[in-house]
Parts: sequence; C-alpha cells; structure tokens
Amino acid sequence: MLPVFTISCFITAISSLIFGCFVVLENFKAKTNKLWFLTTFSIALWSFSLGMEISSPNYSSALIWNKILNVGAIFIPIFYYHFTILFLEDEKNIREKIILIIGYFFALFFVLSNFFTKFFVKGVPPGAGFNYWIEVGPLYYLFFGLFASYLIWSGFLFIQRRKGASLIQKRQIDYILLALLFGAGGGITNFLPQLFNVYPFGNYFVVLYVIFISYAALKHHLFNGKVIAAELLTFSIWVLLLIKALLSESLQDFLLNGGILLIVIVFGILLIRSAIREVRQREEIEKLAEEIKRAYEVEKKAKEDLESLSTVKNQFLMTIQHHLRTPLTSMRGYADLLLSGTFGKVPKKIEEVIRKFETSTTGLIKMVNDFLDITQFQLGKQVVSLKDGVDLSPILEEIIGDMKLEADKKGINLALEKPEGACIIKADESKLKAALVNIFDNSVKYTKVGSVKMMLKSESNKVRIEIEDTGMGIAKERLAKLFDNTFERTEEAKKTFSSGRGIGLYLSGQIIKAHNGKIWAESEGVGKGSTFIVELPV
Amino acid sequence: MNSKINKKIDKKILIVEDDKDFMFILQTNFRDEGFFIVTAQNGQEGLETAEKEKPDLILLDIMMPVMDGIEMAKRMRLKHINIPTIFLTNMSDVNHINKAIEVAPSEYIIKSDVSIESIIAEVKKKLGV
Repeated sequence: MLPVFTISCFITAISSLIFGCFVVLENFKAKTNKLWFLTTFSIALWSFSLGMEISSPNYSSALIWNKILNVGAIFIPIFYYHFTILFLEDEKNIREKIILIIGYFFALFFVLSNFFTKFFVKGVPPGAGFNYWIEVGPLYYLFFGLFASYLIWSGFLFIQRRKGASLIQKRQIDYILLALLFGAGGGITNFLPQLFNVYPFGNYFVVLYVIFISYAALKHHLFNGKVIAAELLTFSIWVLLLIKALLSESLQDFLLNGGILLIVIVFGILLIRSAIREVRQREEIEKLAEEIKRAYEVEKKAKEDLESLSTVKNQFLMTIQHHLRTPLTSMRGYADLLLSGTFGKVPKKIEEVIRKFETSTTGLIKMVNDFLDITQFQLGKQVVSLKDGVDLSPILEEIIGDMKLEADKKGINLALEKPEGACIIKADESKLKAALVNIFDNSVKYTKVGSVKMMLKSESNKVRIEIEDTGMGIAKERLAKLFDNTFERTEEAKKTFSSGRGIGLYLSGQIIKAHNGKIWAESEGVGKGSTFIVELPV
Repeated sequence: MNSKINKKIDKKILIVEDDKDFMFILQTNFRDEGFFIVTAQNGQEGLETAEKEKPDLILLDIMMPVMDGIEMAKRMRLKHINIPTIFLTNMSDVNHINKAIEVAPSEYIIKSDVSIESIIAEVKKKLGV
C-alpha cells in the first residue's frame, strides 16, 4: 500500500492531466486553452515525478525523477503567467511581453543547470520524512524567488482586472484566484523542507485547484464549460465501467459489463456531440446578434447622414429665402414711395401699373415668408412667439373684412358668429392670423355658391374656431392628409384654382400645433361642403 | 420735387442699415414725415454716430457687416448710452429675435412683413409724437 502523500501526488497528476486534456481538446486552436494545458501538464509532470521520486527503490532512480520533477516545477509559474496574460488579453502589452521573455529565458537557464550542473540540485538525500528528498544548490533559491514572484504577479493582474470586469468574468476570475491560492499555495509548501525543514503539508491542497477550475469551467463557462462538463462526466463513467468490465469474474459478467460499456459509450458520444452542438449554436447566435448590432449601427449612421443632409438643404433654402426678402422689401418700398408722391405726382395710368406691381411684390413677399416659415418648422426652429393677452375677436373681424371684397365678387356670403366681448388667449398674433387667413382664404376660394361662416366658441379651458363652407367638400380619405407635408392638392382643387401651392394648410397646421392647439377638418364628402376646426388652449 | 413735407418734427433718428436701397426708402419716408435723420452703414459706424449725434431713437438692422446690430446694442449698454431702439430684421427666427430682445426691451419689426407706414407709426408711438 502506497503512503497517503504519494497517492495525493498521483491523484493530482492524473486529475491535472485529464482536465488539461479536456480543455485543450475542447478548442484545440485557442491559445489560452493550449497554455492552460501546458500549465496542467507541468503540474502533472511535477506531481507524478514527485510521487515516483519518494517511492523510488534506489538513489539513482530517485535522482532521475527529481530532475524530471524540477523541469515540471520550473515551467509551472511561467506557463501559468503566459496563460494569465492571454486570458486577460494583455499579450500585446510591452511590459508583460518583456516579463514573459525574461521568464522563459530563466526557465531554460534553470532546466540546463538542473541537468548539467550541481548549482540547481546537489542531490536527493533523505528529508521531510522521505527516503529521497532534495538538497538544493544556490540557483534553487533564485528559482524559488522567481516561482513565487510570477505566481503573485499573475494573481495581482487578475485582481486588478477584476474591478472593471463583467459579472461572469468576475466569477471566473474568483475561481481562478481560488485555484491559484490552493494550487500554488499548497505547492509552495513543498519548498519548505528545503528552506526551513517543515513538512510539505500543502501538497494535499494542490488537487483542490483542479476542483476549483473545474467548477469555474462548469458553472461560469470558463473554457466552454458545458462541453467539458459533459466530457468529464462521460469519461469518468466509461473508466468506471471499463474497470468493472476488466474485473469481471466470469465471461457472462464480462459480456454483460462490456455490453453496458458499449451502450454507455454510444450514448456518451451522443451526449458530448449534443453539448458541442449546443455550444456552437450559442456561438452562432452570439455572432448573429453581433451582426445585427452592426447592421443596426450602419443603418443608424445612414439615417444620421440623411438627416444632416436634410438640415444642410433646409439651411441652404433658408439663406436663399433671406436673400430674396431684402430686395423684395426694397421693391415694395420704392413702389410705396412712388405712390406716396415722393418723386412728384404720378399720372393715373402709371399709378395703376405701380399698384399692380406693389400687389405682386406683396404676394411674392408673402410667398417667400411662407416658404421660410415652412423651412424653419422643418428645421425645428421656434417660429412662433407666444404672448399673453391676445384678443381673438378683432383678429377674426379683420380676416372677414380683408376677404369681403373677394367674396362679394364671387357672390358668396361671409358671416361671423362670436360671443360678446373679448376672447383672450396666449398667441403669436401675426402667425395665428396668418394661419386662420390661410384656412378662411381656402374656404372662400373653393366655394362657388353659398356661404363661408366663421364661428368662435369659448369653452372652459379652450376656444374653438369653426370655419364652415358650402364649397366643394373633401373626400373622406383625403381628410387625414390635409395638413401633412406632402403639399399634394386634390384634382378638384387644381381645376378650381390652378395657381395654389398646397402649402397653406400645412403651414396653418404647424402654427396651430406650435400654439399647443388642434386642427382638423370634417366633410361629408365631395360636393358637400367642409368644416375646419381649430382649438386653442386659453 | 418733394410734395409731402409740411411740418418739422423736432426729433432725431439714427438709421443703421447696410442695404442701400432699404436705407434710401426709410430715410426718404422719415424725412417726408419731418424727422431729422442721421445714418450709419454698420454697427461700428452706428456706435460712433450714436455717441456723437445723441439721437432720440435708433432704427437698427441686425445682420450687418463689420459689427452687427446685437453687438452694437450690447456696446451701447456697456457705454451707458440709453437710447430707445427699434430693431429691423429680416430674420423671422424667434430665437434670433429673442437674443436681441435680451439686449434691450425694444419693439420688434420684421421688415418684410411690415409696411413702411407701420414702422413710422411704431416710431411715433415710441417717441410720443
């Protein structure tokens, strides 16, 4: 029967090797997995050789196992450090790169001195209660210092990275740190007899690192845990069943156990394959999600470009409109001066022409102003400036007065119904008037016979203005689109009044909205008249 | 040539405007009304003229080269020159106008919307004539 210490060495070696193999087979291409395998392999080599050394039958075989043991021990810290910087994606960092190269250099140096000099190990005399232990050379102390430094530095890098890590990464790092604490901490006690003559009690703990890393792998997807879990489970069942089959006492037993083993192998393979498939699917989904995210970003950028293009276009329009207004204002100003007799008396015929010229210029100014307002609404600028204490009554009276001439010419009646006294609201007087004029003007234009009636109703927290005509009416499907920015006009409207621009209602709608009001139209259909309703808050 | 001059109003108006045509129209109309007119073509000139001539009211354009109307109004305030000012602008952007209103509590006239008569009426109201 082997001593417990020796058994613990072999258990550590076997479990390390098995786990390392699973990790590297799971993803052969991943550098992190390869480095983890090298680390576990070094641990296995060290631990196995240690077991072999202390149970060696003679001095020379113990010395050979000790030399092999040292190779494993020398590479543990440097492989672990290499794994750390790969896991933390620090391999491009110049400082870590230099530390890594120095580490490999020393590892090589120690291996050579281990085999070819007596500076590393002098011999394997009895020690720590074993027949063969180790008598260290001067280089061994340097090795111990570097061994501890590299492991502590790796631990420090993990702790540092833990602060900014995601939750899952934090958990992974926690288990890696725990594994490091038990694995390295336990392993380091093996140095103690050489240094302070203390029993290497920590060796029993080394196997715990496998347990912690395994747990992290299963629970927190370190090295694609799910596949490793499935593999670990099935392989252990296979091994158990194989042992059982080999220990069979009769042929019948052997066939039965062998049959069970075969079936379990088949199901095990299926289980592992399904686990692999599931992991691949998850990766595919993650990749797909990444692609969707990228596509979304491309679309977002395109939308932003389009919006900024639209803004540039609108700003360009606005500048042009500003430049148009200045000379137009002067044209009207000169016409006014001519009419007012500043440059002497104007003959009647020429005065008539100047009046027409002035009317056209005024129309042009209004058009430019309308376009400017639309552009500014589209740029999201504040076009309306609300002021308290605006009386609606005189505004409506003015509108009726202004339109009277045209209505009389067409032979249609205009009427205004409103309550007595003032009707005070918060408004931008000139813009609100412009909005109502647009609607009223529309009703007069598209009414051939009958009347246009404006009604003002005062309600508790709002006022309601209704403009009702007996005109051409509006088809049901057009009602909702009347105030949008497509500037479309109905066929009937084009026939009746060919020079309309279709922007008046859009502008009215925008102005009313800027007053926090509501605007809509109602009509029974084509030829049945229409009613425009405006509601404004008091 | 001028058939309209009938009375003199004892008020001096400074018109600051870079557009020569519009300046001519304003100047002629106000002169016809009997005001005494001094002019400047940008904010810089306007500031100097305001200090020298001490007008009763300033008609001030906003968009001008060298120094704009808002800047001129700010400088006047710094120099404690308190003369009633009416801004003339062809900007209908309310934010722009509000920026100028912060400078001085003045009336606003959007020149393309308003006829010359309305500007004159506004000036007279402000001066109480």
